[in-house]
This record gives sequence, C-alpha cells and structure tokens, in this order.
Amino acid sequence: MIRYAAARILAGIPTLLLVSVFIFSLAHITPGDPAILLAGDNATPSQVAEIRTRLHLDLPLVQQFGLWLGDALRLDLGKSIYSGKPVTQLIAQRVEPTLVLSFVTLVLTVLVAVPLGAVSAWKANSIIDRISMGIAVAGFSIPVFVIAYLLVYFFAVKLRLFPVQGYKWLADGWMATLNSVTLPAIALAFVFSALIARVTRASVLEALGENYIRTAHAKGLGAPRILFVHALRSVGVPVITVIGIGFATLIGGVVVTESVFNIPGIGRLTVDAVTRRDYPVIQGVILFFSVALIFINLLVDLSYAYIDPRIRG
Amino acid sequence: MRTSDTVLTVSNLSLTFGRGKTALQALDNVSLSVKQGEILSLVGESGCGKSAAMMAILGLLPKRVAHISASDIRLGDMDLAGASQRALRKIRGNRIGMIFQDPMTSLNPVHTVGFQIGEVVRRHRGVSWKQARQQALRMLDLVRIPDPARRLASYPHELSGGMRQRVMIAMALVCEPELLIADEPTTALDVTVQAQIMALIDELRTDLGMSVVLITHDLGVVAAAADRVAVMYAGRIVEDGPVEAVFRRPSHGYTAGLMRSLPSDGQVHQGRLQEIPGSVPRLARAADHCAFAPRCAFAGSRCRREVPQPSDLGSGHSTRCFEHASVFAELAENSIVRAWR
Repeated sequence: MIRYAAARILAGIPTLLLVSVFIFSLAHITPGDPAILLAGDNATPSQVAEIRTRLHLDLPLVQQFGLWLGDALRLDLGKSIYSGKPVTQLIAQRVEPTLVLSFVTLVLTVLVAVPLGAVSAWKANSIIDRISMGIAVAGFSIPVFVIAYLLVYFFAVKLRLFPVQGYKWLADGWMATLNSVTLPAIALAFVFSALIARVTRASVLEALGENYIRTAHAKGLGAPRILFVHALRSVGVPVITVIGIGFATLIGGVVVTESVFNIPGIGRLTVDAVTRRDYPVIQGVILFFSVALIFINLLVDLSYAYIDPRIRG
Repeated sequence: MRTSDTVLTVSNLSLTFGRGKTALQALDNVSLSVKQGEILSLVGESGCGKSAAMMAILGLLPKRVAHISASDIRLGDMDLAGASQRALRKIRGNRIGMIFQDPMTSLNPVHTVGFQIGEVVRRHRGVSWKQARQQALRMLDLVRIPDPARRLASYPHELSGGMRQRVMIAMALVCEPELLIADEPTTALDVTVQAQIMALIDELRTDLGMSVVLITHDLGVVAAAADRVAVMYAGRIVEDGPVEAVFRRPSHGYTAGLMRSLPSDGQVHQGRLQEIPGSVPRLARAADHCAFAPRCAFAGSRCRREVPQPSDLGSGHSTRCFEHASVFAELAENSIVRAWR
C-alpha cells in the first residue's frame, strides 16, 4: 500500500514538470516580444527594456526556464502587470470561494448523481430510468450559464430564497457562506452530475449481471443492500475515475459560474487576467489549476486501493 | 406424498420466458419432492431447465420475463408458490441455502469473506456484527478452512477455487437451512478438489440434518453422492427414482444415452465414448411428443406422436418412455449397469 502510494506520488512529478514547461512557454509562444507582452499595452520602450532585464528575458531560454522554475518552487510567480501585487498573494486571496464552491458542488453531485445512476440501473428502461437519464442529458447539453440564470430567476428573484449574487466569506459564518454558494453549486452540479450519473448507471447495470449479485439475491438480501452495498460498491473504481475526470470540466464551469454569480474566486481572477492580458496572473492560475488537477488525480489513484482490495499490492 | 418428512414439494411447475413469438418454454409440468436428509440429484444437459427450476422456486428469476405457474410449491408446510418476494427473501439464505457453479465469480470481490458470511446472519437473525462474526468463524471452521480467524479478513481473490467454494458453502449454511441447493458445485473445480467438496457437502448434510438438491450434468457425481435422481430433458423430468434403481435399470432413451457417454472404471476404452447426437431443443411450446425422440436410438412412431406419461416401475422409480423395456434390454450388458447389480 505504501509502495503503491509512493509510486503514484512520484508519477505526478513528470506531469507537473511538463505543465511547467507549457506555462513557461506561454509568454514565449504567443506572437510578439514577451517583454512587450508583459509590459502591457501602454508601456514606453524604456519600461520594456527594464522588464526585459528584470525578468532575465535577455538570457538563453533554458536558463530563463531554470530561473522561473526556481522562483515557482519558492511560490514566487512574479507580479501582476495590472495591480503590481504578487501573483501568489492574488491567488491565495481568491482560493477560498473557489474551494468552497467546488467542494459543495462535489458533495451535491455525489449525493445526487451516484444514487440516481444506481437506481436508474436497477430500474433500467423504466419510466424512472428514462426521466432521470433525460434530465442527465439535458444537464450536460444546456450551457452552465443558462442554468445559472434560470436558477437565479426562479430561486433568487422570484422566490427570494437565495441571494442573486455575491459571496459571504467563511470568516463571517459558514451558514451564510453555504447560502451564498447554493445556487452556483446547483448550476455547476447539473453539468457535473450528468456525466457521473450516466457512468454510474452503465457500471452498475453491468455489475447487476454479475454472479455475485445472484449470490446476494440467493442470500435473501433486500434491494437497497444489493444495489448499494454489493453492486455500487464494486463499481467504485470507474465512478471515482469519472468524478476525477469531471473535475477538469468543473474548472471550466467554475470560471463561468463565478462570473455569473460575481464570486471573487480563482475563476473570476482568470477571466479578469485574460481580458487584461495580465500574463503573470494567467500563468499563475493555470499552474494553480494544473496542480489542483494533478492532486485530485493522485487522490483518485490512492482511493482505488481503498475501494478495490485487488489493487492493493 | 407425505408432508411430514418431505422438505420440498413441487407439483406441475411450468415456466415460460417471454411472450408471443420469442417465448421459450423452459419447464413443462415438473414435479419433484425432496425428503428430509436426502440428496436429490437433478441431471441433464445445459439448457434442460434444471437450474431454472430451482431459480423459479426461490423467486430468483426476473418477473418481467419469467412466467411461472405451479399447482404447488411447498417448503415444509409453507407455500412458496403464492409467497410474496418479501416472504421469499426471508426464505433465501435462511431456510434454503444456495451455492453456484463458479465460486470465482460468485463472491463479491470488494468485500471480505467475514463480511459476506456475516451479513447473511445479520439479515436473517438480526444479531450484532460481533455475533455475526462469531457465526462466520464457526462456519469457516466447519467447512475446514485452515486458520479461519485470519480468513475472515481475506478477500475472495486471495483464496483458491476450492477455498472459495468452501466459503460459498459456509455462506449458504450459516443460517442452518433445511435445504441446500447446489448448482453444479464442483464443475469449475479441479478433480481432486471436486471429491473434497462433495465429501464436505455429504458430511454437512448428516451433521446439520439438511436435504440437498444437487444440480449436475455428471452422472459420476450422481452415482457417488445422490440418494435419488431426476433426469431432465427439455424442461421435463423424463425419469426419476432412487439412484440404485435408475442405475440398475435405466429406463429412458435419454438416461441410456447419458450412461453410454460415461467412461466406466477399470476398463480400457474401446475407441471413443459414445455421444448423443444433436443438441437440446429450444422450444417455444412444450413438445406434443417425446422431446427426446428426434435424438433417440429407440424411438418408435408413437414417440413422435404422443407425450409419454410417467409409468411406474416400482420402488419409486418412474419413467416417461414408451420404449423403456427395449432401452433396458439394450443396456443390460452396459458395464455401469452391471457394476450396480
């Protein structure tokens, strides 16, 4: 088990290195001089020259990468062109809303999509199955901002159950925080759930045909126990895998959702940085999302061993 | 038929899968009974309905496609034919245990052996996990699994095929059922392990005082273990009786075919074993003649016109064969038949 975990963790390092190369090249592969790019639109030639020496852009590329990587490892990702604040600090300020939103979305999705998929499989081809899979397809097909605005219209504007927009910080009480992220989390969960519900249904349907399910019936177990303890438990690996993959989709959704609901998270930071062509910040958030994804994939890999005893070596 | 010492009674059980053009008649008026403490063996080729009959009795067939009718299905004095799924769930694993052909895939790979045995006790006895664990431990010991306490925490993939089948047996018997249905319990196992498993089932039958329905296609297993045998063909029981009587006086064309295809001990084979030509028919409706007639060496014109009704040959031995006299005459010199005299 420890060897398996160590192997998984080590496997993350080359991935991270590859991502770093890509992020570093971002400023260099875009057309034009990176110094001009980084200086922003209204910079004077002397400012550009100053940036070029300060950021070592006059050095060979490999040497530049080495310096950049060294800084990145010390969590120094440079300063924002727009505000002049360190990128690390900007990201740190914005982490909480994004983490809270993602976490609530994840919990909501798992609580809804997994049982929904399992029950659909149990009742395959019935009305319940058709309706829930119909909703799943709709959730996957409708853009997240459409769902978001519909939710806002009904639950915030009409029913006044939740705030229209904004985010309440955890420091001000977690109930208020939860209230402020409910609608964005539901909007995001719609997209996320569709994929997970469908994969859960397919996996459980296959598991229900297995001999050990026949054994479970022969033991006199009830339907919920057979479905959840025997069928669903044994398909944990594919379901967790797709939850991990779904996180990549979720990041795109987070960016849109945070804009719709005016939540000051990493997603908003990304949008703002892109519109301002604030390259150091763009590099920073991409690195942040990449590390987050690698970390999640690591968790997924480690959970396999917990879920499936045959993987523990 | 006396009910006092009869554990399972099945009368006129018919089973059809599907409706209309795609319908498939799997069982046609199957009647059988299992007495207290005996091993009844159901024998026949794949697809003859032997497993389907037992699944039907336990309510394990999908209701949407399986249409079951029976004049009587009785476990002890309890009516199973009219029982609800809820009532049947209380029977399964509790009063009737079941083990299957493939122990490799019949255990859930993600749960420990102790969990899978223990949950049966929890389900039917409502005891704590601690007590359930004790029961599981006792059963593992009973089925002779070495180091049972350690094995409780094992996962199925850590055990050999024979060990897994022992675990299956422990699981089926943990609530001390009055009936064990063993569906080809040794087919997937090595020959040496087969004998051990059969010996174990036989021994547990005596110790726990239960009855066994042994589903098999292997006449060798029948001869070694069973008290009575019912030979099935295309959804019908074509011959049944005490093992000794049937082996001494095989009285159906199909039984004869099965016996001839069996290698006999202590004899050097002269050429190939005899096979039965053709294969089991899949019938949309029960045949209006002897279903085996097209493959039968003894069949006369009557066999192709009429369904033979059971004829009593004495001492509980009966056959559904018009030509049983000529079948027996032909087989009188068969080495297996001679060995049983």
